[in-house]
Amino acid sequence: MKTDYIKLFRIFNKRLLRKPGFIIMLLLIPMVVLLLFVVSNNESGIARIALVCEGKSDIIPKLMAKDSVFLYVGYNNKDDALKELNDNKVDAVWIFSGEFEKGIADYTNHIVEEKARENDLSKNALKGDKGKVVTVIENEDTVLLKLARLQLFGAMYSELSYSLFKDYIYLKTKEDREEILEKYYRIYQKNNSLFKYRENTAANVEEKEETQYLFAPVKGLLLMMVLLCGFSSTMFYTEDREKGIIDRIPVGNKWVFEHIYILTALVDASIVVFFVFLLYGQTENVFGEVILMLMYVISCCCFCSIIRKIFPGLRSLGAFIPVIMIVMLVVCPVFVYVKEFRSLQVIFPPFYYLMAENDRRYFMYFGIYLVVTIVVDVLVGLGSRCSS
Amino acid sequence: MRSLYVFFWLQLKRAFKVFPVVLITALIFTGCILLLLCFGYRNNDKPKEDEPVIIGIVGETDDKYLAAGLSAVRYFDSSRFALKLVEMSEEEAKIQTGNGEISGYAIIPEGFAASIKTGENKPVILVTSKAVDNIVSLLVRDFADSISKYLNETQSSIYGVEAYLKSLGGYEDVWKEINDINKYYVNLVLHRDELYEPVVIVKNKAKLSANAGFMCGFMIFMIAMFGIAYTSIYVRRSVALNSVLASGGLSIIFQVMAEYIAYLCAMFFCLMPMIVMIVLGVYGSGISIYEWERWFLEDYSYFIRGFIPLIIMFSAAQYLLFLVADNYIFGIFLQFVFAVFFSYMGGCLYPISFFPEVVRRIAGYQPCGLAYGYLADIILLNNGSGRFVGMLLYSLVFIVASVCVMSRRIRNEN
Repeated sequence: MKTDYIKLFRIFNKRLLRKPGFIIMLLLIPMVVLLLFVVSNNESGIARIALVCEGKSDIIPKLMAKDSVFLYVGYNNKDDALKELNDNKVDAVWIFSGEFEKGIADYTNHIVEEKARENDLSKNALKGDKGKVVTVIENEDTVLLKLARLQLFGAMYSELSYSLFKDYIYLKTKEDREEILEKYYRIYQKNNSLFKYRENTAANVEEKEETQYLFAPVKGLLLMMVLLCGFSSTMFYTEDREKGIIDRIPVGNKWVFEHIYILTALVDASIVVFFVFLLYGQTENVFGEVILMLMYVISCCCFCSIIRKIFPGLRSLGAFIPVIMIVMLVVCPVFVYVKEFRSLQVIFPPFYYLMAENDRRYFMYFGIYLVVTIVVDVLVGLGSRCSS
Repeated sequence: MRSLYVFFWLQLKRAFKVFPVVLITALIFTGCILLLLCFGYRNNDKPKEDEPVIIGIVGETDDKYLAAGLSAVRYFDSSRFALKLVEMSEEEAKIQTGNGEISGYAIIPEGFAASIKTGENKPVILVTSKAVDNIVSLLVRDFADSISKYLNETQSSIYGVEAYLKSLGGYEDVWKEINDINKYYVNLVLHRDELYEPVVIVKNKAKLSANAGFMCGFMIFMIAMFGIAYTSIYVRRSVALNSVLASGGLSIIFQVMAEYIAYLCAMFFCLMPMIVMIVLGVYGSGISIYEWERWFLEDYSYFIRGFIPLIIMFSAAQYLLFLVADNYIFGIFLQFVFAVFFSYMGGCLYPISFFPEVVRRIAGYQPCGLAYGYLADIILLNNGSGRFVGMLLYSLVFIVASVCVMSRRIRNEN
């Protein structure tokens, strides 16, 4: 008798979809993602910097308006900001001097004066002390905070540059009429970015930047969930085998039967996850994503089947799942990329999916991985059949 | 009373049926992680967060001005501690970015330096990989924005000087003046640190170091995830035995307590060896944990004992989730979502400072955030009694909820 595998798939699917828990799970996926989406759209930054100005200056609004990975928070007084630093609520406090503009002017004066003295140019033309315009207070001087200070300098740079320009012109020509200086300074005003951005190995360049880093791990987590569904249905299969249910039904080719069994939950979960990707703009190329998802589902199915053959009992399989999930979350680039674990990364299907998204070479590697997984699955299956 | 004793004994036997497999798997897993840590981080005293961001420089770097600029950034500029520029071929850069060895690379177009001099500004293509490191990729782009700003303003000034001097007439050598003001700008950028009062470091005793924070976060996540290992015996479709016992007079509260304590014992004996191994492994591997430098032996023992309330709380939560689920798929899914969601929102997987204010406020009150705060208190040798009580309260809430779920399931079954 010829086994109708499509019918079998439908039966298994119906059985799954009759379980309220499974339906709740499928509905929970978009809801959890929605919650993370809402969270990630709130104001956040990889470091929080408290800004205090002891006088009047437009530098604070300028920094706060910046679309940046740092979060700038304005404070009215120094003590409040320092208290926040002490309570770990901010990572650094930048206190702008009460005479910010004067500080900038003094600083550029000093540069021009020093240089003029070196060149023996009108020594007494300009007078000024080197001004300190910002006081920086931190708990630890980390790389992040060092990079944030580059942004601080960037925010002050317009004032610094204009002040230096004025000082230079004054040094050379004694011209100090603001309207003339302003006119010549603005003669060439470009605000175009020197950089264009591109993803590694992608062909197109982009102008705008993506700052939703809190939402970035969602894709990896959803892929993990799909794999987890594969593991769960593998447990179902193992339990049915242990109970002898599978021996009582005409299964045809056992290898195909087992994979259809595992595929049911995988396919349902992957469809929901795929629509979640579409809904939250996690796909750039829909066709490419469909292909990737298809490859992912098949590789997950074979991966689960290999794991089942290595851990044939229900309990050992159950015990192994959290271990493999923790390892995958650590080594695959879901939250952070740990280059030290590269040799382990190549074992897991989510690694290829996540990498292939941005690096076309991994499409090919994913294909090779898929073939290797299928071959290993068949070989392990043959091995376990021979040994039993 | 005797039926309770027999029921508890049966539950213990049930929980410990899986125990050897879980323990062996857990210990092998811990051993592997420690081996990898030893190979990856040994003798690396520098905390991960203090490593500079490495950017590849690709393309035309032969121009003498550009080469001088790159050398200045590499050797003189204060950004050299945060940013490392390495010249390489595009092919190398592509591979190294893909492998996560560098954070990205900048492609300098042909005639770039000349285009800057004429104000044409040929764009530099900055290539990063969001798949490899989304946060560093964003950071590098932020940094690039600042450089654009420097260049635009400097060009405004230099062209302004040129135009003004030309308008006055009588300046035979405007190029000399331009060269002069360029030097002023180089001075301005290279000595920018003089603008800030010396950076004052207030070493805050209430803040965990990055490595200690990562270790605590990982351990909490591991404890929260380990419930999945017991899914095969605790997720059940039927509560027939509990129903029979309840009708025989054994209270549901006692039944739930007996099942929970048995599960807690199994989790405790499985997780404690793992925790001890991780602590010993981290200590032995040479990973720098700043707080441990002033610890004595009893502090380590206090730290390991500190995991007991965590295991009590997470076991109660996991037991509740087992009761809610009626099949493996849902059971495993619930455990996974619970572990990932609360660990993520509690600052165990990303530092809590990365999150918006609303999440930061509630993080300390949800299970994983509370556990993280409690471990931080222990590591910093602070009094964590408030959080300890909080975790016990959570455990109580989870057990009461388990009693309610069990009662409902028994009612439905009848």
